[in-house]
Amino acid sequence: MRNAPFVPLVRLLLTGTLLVLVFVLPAVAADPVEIDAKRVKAMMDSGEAVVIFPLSTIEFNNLHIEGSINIPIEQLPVGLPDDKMKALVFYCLGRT
Amino acid sequence: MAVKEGYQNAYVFRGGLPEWIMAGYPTVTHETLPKVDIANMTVQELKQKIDAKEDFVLLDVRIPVDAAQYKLEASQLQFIPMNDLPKRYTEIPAGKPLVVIDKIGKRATMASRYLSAKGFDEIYKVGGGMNQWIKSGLPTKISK
Repeated sequence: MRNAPFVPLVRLLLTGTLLVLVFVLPAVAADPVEIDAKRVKAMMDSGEAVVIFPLSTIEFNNLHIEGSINIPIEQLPVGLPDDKMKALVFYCLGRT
Repeated sequence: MAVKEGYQNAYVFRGGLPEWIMAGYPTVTHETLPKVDIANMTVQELKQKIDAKEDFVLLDVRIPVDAAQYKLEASQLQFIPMNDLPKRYTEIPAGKPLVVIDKIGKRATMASRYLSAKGFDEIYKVGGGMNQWIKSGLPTKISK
């Protein structure tokens, strides 16, 4: 059979592709996406996102984005919406 | 963490409050802390004070996850996460100089202003926080 040597190679390629689809892509796709102020504003205005300040209540009370909520990081995930498809935007005090 | 909990649409707004303010978007203040100038202390100065066994309180206000991973060793060290300060600031001994350290030097000012409003009058903040301590090659205890 002329194609016999290629069958194991094809099987290997298919298995590898399957492994990537099942394990690697979901992990990569799940990394939070970085967005800018304009996008945050748009998402807030449309109601599609919950904007969350995860630092202390002291800092939140001092100054925060209008419409955002405070869930101190120690308390997460308590306070997050039940709908796991809801967009969540996290912000803090700026770039380190 | 949100991703681990199964939230499919998590975003990070890294520019944070500064970028939001620059864009001219609205912010809210519930409680303004008194604008007090907090004196800066370098990590080298802190190291000298620790080594000299001076009598002061070194307050680490980092979040528990960070504090559990790495910390500096000092007999003067007291750990109260910033979010716990309102209910635990009374644990800080009064009458001693207070040196506040955070992760990168951004939050210590706010913690210091809060403590100043609570009556602590000799307060310093560590410039650059624990990150600067580590960058300066100073001894750090790292948890495994």
